Order: sequence, then structure tokens, then C-alpha cells
Amino acid sequence: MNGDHAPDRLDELLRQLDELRDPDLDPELEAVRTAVLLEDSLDITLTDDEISPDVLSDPAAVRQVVASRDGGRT
Amino acid sequence: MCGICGIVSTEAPPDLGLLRRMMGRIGHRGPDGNGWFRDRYAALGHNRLAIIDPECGAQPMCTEDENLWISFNGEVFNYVELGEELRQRGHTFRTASDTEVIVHAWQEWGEGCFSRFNGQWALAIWDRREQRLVLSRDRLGVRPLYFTRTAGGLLFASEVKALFADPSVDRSLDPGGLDQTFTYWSTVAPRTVFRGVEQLEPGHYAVFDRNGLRTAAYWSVEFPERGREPVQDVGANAEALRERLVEAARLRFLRSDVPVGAYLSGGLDSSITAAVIARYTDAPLHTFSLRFSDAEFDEGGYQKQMSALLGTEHQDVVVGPSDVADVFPDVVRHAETPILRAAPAPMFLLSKLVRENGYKVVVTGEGADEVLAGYDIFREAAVRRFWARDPGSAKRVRAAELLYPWMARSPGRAPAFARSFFGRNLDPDDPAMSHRPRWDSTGVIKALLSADMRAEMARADAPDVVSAMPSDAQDWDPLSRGQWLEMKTLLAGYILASQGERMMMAHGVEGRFPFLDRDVVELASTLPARHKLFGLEEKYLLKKAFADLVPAEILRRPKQPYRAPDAASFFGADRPDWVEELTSERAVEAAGVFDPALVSGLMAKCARTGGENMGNTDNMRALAVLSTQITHESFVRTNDWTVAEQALPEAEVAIDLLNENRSV
Repeated sequence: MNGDHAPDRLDELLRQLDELRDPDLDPELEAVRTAVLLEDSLDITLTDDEISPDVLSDPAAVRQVVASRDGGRT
Repeated sequence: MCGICGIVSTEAPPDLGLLRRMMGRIGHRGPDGNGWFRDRYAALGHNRLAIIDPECGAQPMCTEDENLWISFNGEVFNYVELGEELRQRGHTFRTASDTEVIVHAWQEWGEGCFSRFNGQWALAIWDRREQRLVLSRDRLGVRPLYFTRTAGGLLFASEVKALFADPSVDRSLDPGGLDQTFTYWSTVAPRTVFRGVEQLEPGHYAVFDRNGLRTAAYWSVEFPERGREPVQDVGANAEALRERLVEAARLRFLRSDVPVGAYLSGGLDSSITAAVIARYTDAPLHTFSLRFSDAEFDEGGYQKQMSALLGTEHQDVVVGPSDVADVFPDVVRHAETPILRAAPAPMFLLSKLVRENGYKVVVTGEGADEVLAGYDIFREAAVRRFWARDPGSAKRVRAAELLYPWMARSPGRAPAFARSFFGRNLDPDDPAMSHRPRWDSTGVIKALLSADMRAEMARADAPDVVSAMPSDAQDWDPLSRGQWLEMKTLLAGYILASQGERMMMAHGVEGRFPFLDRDVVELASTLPARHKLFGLEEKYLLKKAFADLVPAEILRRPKQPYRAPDAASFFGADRPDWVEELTSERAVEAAGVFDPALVSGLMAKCARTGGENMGNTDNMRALAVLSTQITHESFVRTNDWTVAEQALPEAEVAIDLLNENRSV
């Protein structure tokens, strides 16, 4: 999966992530949890601004972040 | 499961009296019978725990031409299929025993037979014509096999205490072995804590003949390059894992001529193995559990829930701190090594319960945490890697709160703890980054060492396990490197040995481990790391694969590491007398491992607190001192073995080719 952020793989990842979402968890921590998973699975590095509920709870925003790394990954 | 031992001697013929004494020292491993064989150069002994073909499976066993003799401990679960293959190649069998299949497999395929075996074994084969001894041990080290070189040959046995039946064998502690134990929690094979005593490495075989001793690997755990795992689809992998685990559990439950029970801890792994057996076999299931009088450690509620769901006949034993202290000396005598936790003691009591209920085989969930990534150490490593990408980030430091929820409730304490624990040795290029915090925190035990022992350890220069990591490991996922280290250290040396096989065999109980099945391990090692540890969700694929068999409460509960009260077991109001005796200045000085004054200070602190509310470091130090002192007292200082040598009943097999006497 590294360096190959195929849309279907990312969809699968987001679907799996959604199944594990904990509604009782502090949204900031949920964002950190999502960031750990995305960085580990996709071999990307997020900025502190991106490790936020606004970005990481929104699948469209996540896709945008990942797309921005393809071809110019940090 | 059984006990094996033997002598190879190029000088005088092997001493039958010594062989019988060796067998007597491991009599607990095989209370159902015994046998021996001797010729001019070798003698093999066998203590039998009869599980397959109880009527005809006595050992040592030989081929029709009486050239190959075998003493075997363990199970090769695919012996039925191997036997069929061998029949097609012209082999004939006199028994229904797995042992006979194994010796024929050696005859047919030589060392190539070991990679065909799916099981857990330690064995010795003596080839009379070639005057050659072959030893072999299973892939992950479920079954133990020790040996020591003597002036004219070699002694081998399932347990070290049998080797010490020979008074000419050196009985001293090995500083290099202690160094490894006080770092990794156990020695790393081939090392042991006894000077001159070696253990055959898991996944290896050894040949001893007139050219000396040679060892070679027939298997080692390997992982694919990160990103190049053969199957990326999580659903397909979950299905494959389920298929292999079901077959592994079925084989382990059904391939036995005596009833098989199951451990039920209340956690995910044993719940799955028990549920698979209940679902996929027709036989009634008897389950056994360990409970604690202290609610902090007890999982009784989950055990009852699972047992009720499966409709098993269920038994448990409730363990309190004084129970741990009572059996601890016996526990160490069976483990034959210092142990840094009291956790093996309740396992000793659990296997006693099993035996008292008439069972001698149990299926358990051991191995799942290593093979499918269940331990906190893997989650901690993921957090450390996340943090290492930007150590200055205020957001990344919060990842530690996902592991330890108390941090979120203690904002004042959390950052300092996180930095001290997660922030140390934060080098992403270190292949052992996952394990440094554990090794560092364990290594503090060494601050208690005597000056002499410190110097001896430096001279011994025990090899660093990291240097044995395969060169292509740099391309593996970091999780795979952590799994490799865990399998090389804690799994083989502690989980399967001190806390596993030894505690079961102390009462003649055989453990069977579906998660360590050859096909399960080989599938698991090819999985993408994220299917095992999905972000911080441990054993993700396992949960997905068996979601329909295990209640949601057990499936979703945070992993509770198996623990028992440590120092608190020994320093309460009913402190056993041996604690004071073995930690006295005289006893500590005699053992020579620790500094008496430092031990005295630690013991005073334990006495003051009753062992309660002590930190991890002091708990570990206290257990290290107590268990090391028992090890020294039992194996080095005294000439009399402190667990009674068993009087053996009449041998079922007694073949003396030296004098051409035989009775079977």
C-alpha cells in the first residue's frame, strides 16, 4: 500500500476506520487515533493542522490530504 | 507429552544407572510409563505421558531393522497424513502411534522431515549404523531440549535437572545467561542460565557423531517486504485465517486418544479456541480457568460468560497472594531459571486443577499475541513511531493517552510520563525500537548486581539478540521486526517455557496451541501489518474473523495483560520463612549474583510496604532476587535435588543391546 494510495484501498481503510470509531472518545483524541492509522497504513506524515477533527472526521477531507501526498509525499 | 533424555559416550559404554537417575528427575513429565534403550555408544530414556495409542506407543521405539531408535516428546499433529504418504512409499507400521511415523519420516526424508511436521516436539534419534545422534526441536520452541558436552560425549534431556544427575556436570550460573535474563526476561537459545548447558534453538536440529556437534536451522520466521504482502484484501485474509485456525484447533482437539480440555482466561484468544472447538466438534468440552482473589487481576465474569455461552463443564481455581508464595519455590525449580514475574505460579496451580480433574491435555490461546500482534508493546511502538515523526508536536504526544486512559484524566502527570517512557531512545532506524523501553526498564535489575557479577557479565559479553536479525529485516514493516524480536525472546524463553510448558508439565499436563500451528504462523507472517495492528487496534483481523463466535463484550474489551500479584505475594502478614533465609546476607553472598547490602535495602522496603503499591521496577527487582536465590539454592549450592527424584515403575521398554538383554 505504501506509495500506492489507490482509491479503493483508501475507501476500504476509511470503511474499517468508521467501524472502529468510538463516539465517546474526545474528538481531538479520535483525530490522533485516525492520524496514527493513516500514517502507518499509507506511509505519509500529517501536519499538526491536519491532525484535527475537522479534517480527519471528514472522508472527503482525508481523501484530499492523501491525494496531496501522492506525487509529493512528505 | 513426555520427558526424554539420553547419553552418547565415545569412551566407556553409557552408564545405565545414570540414565535411570536422569529419568527419575523428570518423572513428573511422564507418569504413565517409562522405557530405555542402550547399546555400546548411546542410551535413550523416555518418561511417558500416554496420549496417542496408549496401548502400543511405548518408547524408545525403533524401525523394523532396529537401526534407528527414537525418544520423542510432543505431538506431530499431521502424523496421520504423513503416515499415509509413507505407506504409499512402502513403509509399514506396527502401531497407530505418531512416534513410529516420525522415525519412518526420518528414515525416508532425513532432515527434510522436520519441515513436513506440523506440531510441537523435541526428539532424539539414534542411528546405530552411523553412530549418530540427531536432536530436533519444533519451530517456535514449545518443547524444551537441553544438552551438555561431556568429556567423552553428550548428555541431553527435556529439563536441565536431568543433566545435573551426572555429578561431573558443572553446576554454576552463567553470567551471560543472567545478563540476557535481566534484559529480555529470559535467555535466548542456545544460551541458558547454567554454564556449559545449552538448549537447542527452536526451528533447529543437531547432529552429534564422531565429527562432533553441528546444528542447523530447518525453519525460521520470515516476513515479506512492507507493501509486498501477497494478499491485501482484509476480507480474504480474515477468511483464510479463520479456515486455518479452525483446522488447527480441530486437529489439536481431535488427535488424541484421551479427553482434551481447554483453558478459558476470559480474554479473546482462549475464547476463540474454545468457541471453535465447541462449534466445529461434537465432543463435550470441559474448560478450566484461573481466578484471583484480588479483583484487580480477576477475569471471572468474562470466563463465566464464555463458559455459559458455550455450555461447557467449567472448573476454576481461585488464587490469592499466599498461594503464590507457597508454590513459588517449586515453580522456579520447574522453570529452572530466574523469573521476573509471579505470573507463572498461578499457571502452576491451574495445571494442577486440570490434572486433578482427570485431564492431561488442554488447548489454550498462547501465541496469538505474538503471531497476530496483541501485546501492548506493539501498540506502544506504533505510538513511539508516530511521535518520532515530529517529537515537538503537541498533538502527537497525546497519542500516549490512547494507550493509557489515566493520562487523559491526569493532564499534570501525563506529559512527563509520556516523555520519559515513550520519548527515550526514539530512533526510528533502530531495528529494536519497539523493545528498547522494555529492555531498559528490565535492565535496572542489574543495578543490584554484585561487583564481581557485573565484571563477569562484561567479560561474558552475551550476544545482543538484535544482531541475529535477518539482513532483509530492514525492509520489513516495523511491526514485523517487533514480532520477530518477541518470538525470539519472550515467546520461546518465557511465555512458552517458564509460564507455559514447565508449569503444565510440572503436573503432567500437555498444552496444545492452535495459534502456533505451522499453517497459522505462516499465514500470519505474510499478512499486511495493518491487518494485525490496525492503527492501535490489536489483533484486528482475528476479531474480524471470529466476530460471530465471541460476544461483543469480550471482542471489544481492552486487552488485559495476564498478571498476578508480585511482591505483594511474598511480603504480606504471612510471609513464608524461606524469603528471609534466601535473602539473608549470607545466602546472597553465597550465590554471588547480587550485592547483599542492596538486596537488604530492597527487602526492607518490601517488608515496610508489605509489597503493596510498589512500582514496576521494585516488583521486578524483588522477583529477580527471590527467583535467582531459589535457582542457586536448588541447582548450584545443594547436591541433593530439592524436588524429590521419582522412583520409576518397571520399564515398559528395556532394551540393553550392550548385553543383548531385552524386554518389551
